[in-house]
Amino acid sequence: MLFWIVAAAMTAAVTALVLTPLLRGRRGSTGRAAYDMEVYRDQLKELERDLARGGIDERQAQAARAEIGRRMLAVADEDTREAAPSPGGPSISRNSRWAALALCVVIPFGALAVYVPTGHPNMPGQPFASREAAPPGGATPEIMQAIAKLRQHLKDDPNDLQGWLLMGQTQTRMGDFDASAEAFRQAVAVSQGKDPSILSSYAEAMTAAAQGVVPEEASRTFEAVLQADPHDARAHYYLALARAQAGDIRGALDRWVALVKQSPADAPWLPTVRQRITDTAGQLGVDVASVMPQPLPPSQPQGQSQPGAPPNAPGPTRDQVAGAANMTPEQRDTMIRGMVDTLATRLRDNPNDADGWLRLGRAYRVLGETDKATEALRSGVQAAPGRVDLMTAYADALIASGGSDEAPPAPAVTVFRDVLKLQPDNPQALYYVGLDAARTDNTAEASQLWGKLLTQLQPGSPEHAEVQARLDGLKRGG
Amino acid sequence: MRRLIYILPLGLFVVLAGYFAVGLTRDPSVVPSALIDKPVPEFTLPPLLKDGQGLASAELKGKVQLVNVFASWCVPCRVEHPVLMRLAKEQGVTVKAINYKDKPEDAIRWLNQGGNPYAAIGADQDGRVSIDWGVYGVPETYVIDAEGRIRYKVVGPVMPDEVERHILPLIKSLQGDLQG
Repeated sequence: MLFWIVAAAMTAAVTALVLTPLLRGRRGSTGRAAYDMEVYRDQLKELERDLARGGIDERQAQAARAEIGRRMLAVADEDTREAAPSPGGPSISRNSRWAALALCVVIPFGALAVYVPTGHPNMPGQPFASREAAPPGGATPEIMQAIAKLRQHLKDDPNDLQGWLLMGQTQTRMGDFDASAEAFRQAVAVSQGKDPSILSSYAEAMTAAAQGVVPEEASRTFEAVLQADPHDARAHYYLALARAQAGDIRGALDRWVALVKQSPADAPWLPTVRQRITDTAGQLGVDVASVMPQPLPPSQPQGQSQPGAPPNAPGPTRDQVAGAANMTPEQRDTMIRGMVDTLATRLRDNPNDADGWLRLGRAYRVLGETDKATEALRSGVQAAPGRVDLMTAYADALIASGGSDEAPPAPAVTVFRDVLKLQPDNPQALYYVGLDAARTDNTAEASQLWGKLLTQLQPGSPEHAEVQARLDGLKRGG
Repeated sequence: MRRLIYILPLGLFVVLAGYFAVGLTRDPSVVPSALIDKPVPEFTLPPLLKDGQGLASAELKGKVQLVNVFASWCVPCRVEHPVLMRLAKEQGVTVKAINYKDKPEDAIRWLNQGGNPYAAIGADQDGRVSIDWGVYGVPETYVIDAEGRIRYKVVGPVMPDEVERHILPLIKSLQGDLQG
């Protein structure tokens, strides 16, 4: 509100300034005539003084007096003529009155028309102190405050490793790479350079601070990281980049190719590395397809046969998996058991989670506890009748717990027959029901099922060969 | 006579357009250097590093080498630095340097971080010697032959492509001259 009052006052002042000369009209020229008269009167006085001093003689004085008098008359004449209402006079003053009126409207509304689209009357004031701390990279004042607090905290407690790491990450996000390199350097110092991932972050920040050129110190650091952790993807990536920047394009390509080969297919850095491979291969004039390698299988199983699984199914996190890779078999077993127990407890509370049962059953199978697996999968089938993936997993578990590959147990065959009702071309069901039929000398049914199975299999594959052999066996037997 | 005055702007325009037409067809990155095939200018520069070598014209004789003009404040210098590192450390080329208008402590920190490819560094703090070399911007790189003559000049950062196509072949042929 105060703003509008001030703005209105200012507009009024400006309008008044513009209007004053318009409304004052001709008074300005009248003033000039009076001033001229004053000057001439002065001249007359001076003339008398000169005459009295004898500077000029009476004849010269007479002539000068006459000249000044003539001019005074001329001025007086002009003054009266202008003061008198001349024919043009009123129309001019009416014009200026119209102009004044128009300006009274144009100035305030013009000001509004300019202000309203561009101005922000509710914009908070910017005191000088807060303007000075204007954050780089458009961070909010809250973030700046948090950083200042963190900086103070680190001054008091320079051995806080987590603090330095947080500082480094924040500065990286803010785009202040010099500051982030410094923070990571402190983190390396606090951790005594023993943690390869911190070293890696430090070298990465150094590279960013050098506008993306990998400095030699960063290269050395990355080499040290690889000594400690040969699987550090960041170190592999930047060392390859360093080769490319030094002009060794071939060396860079080889390193990136090696990195893809040792990365799981769902690694977040793969697209970048693939792009680099495509670029460098282009520079070398090499066919990309001939050098682009296949990555390792994904580190997180994608659940090929559980189409109904929610995408955010709680599995092990990436860190847990990465951690598991470095564990001894016993440690890994303990970790898996811990996760399985958690899952089992949760399912006891929520027995309708069919996906949970499926995961639990698979986990028990991996651990070799076939009976528990069968039990879990049976619960799953009960929770979600008609789900083929659960049913086949359950039947699989039944086969594993009792019977042999040649003679599937009766309950499993029953389940598979149910599967065939839902999905007449399910290969697993076709195979095992066919096997059961063959075993019970139901040759016609067996050959019909296996024949159907055969059409689904890739000719030349081992499965195809096996089913073909069994079919041939049926014919010979029959 | 007065009519000629009206034609004058047109005449000026034609002359100017002529200059531009010629200028636009030239490659702006190729700058003729008056010093190509001339001996390096006489100079002596103090060393940048306390335990390092300085640079003087007498030391630029006897073998084929590069002289690189750099500064820690120069952004393109960062880009060429890995290339120079590789030339010096892996491709066996002697690279010497003139540190141009730089604070010594900045230059030293820069070399500590990015690595030091230089066999000798002369500190040219006021830029006088660089003027004699015809340096008008950093980075610049010169190929010096065994007689101490400037044989090739790269204006701007030395790129890998330039190294493969011009510098290494030239060095090889100059070294061949030396042996032969």
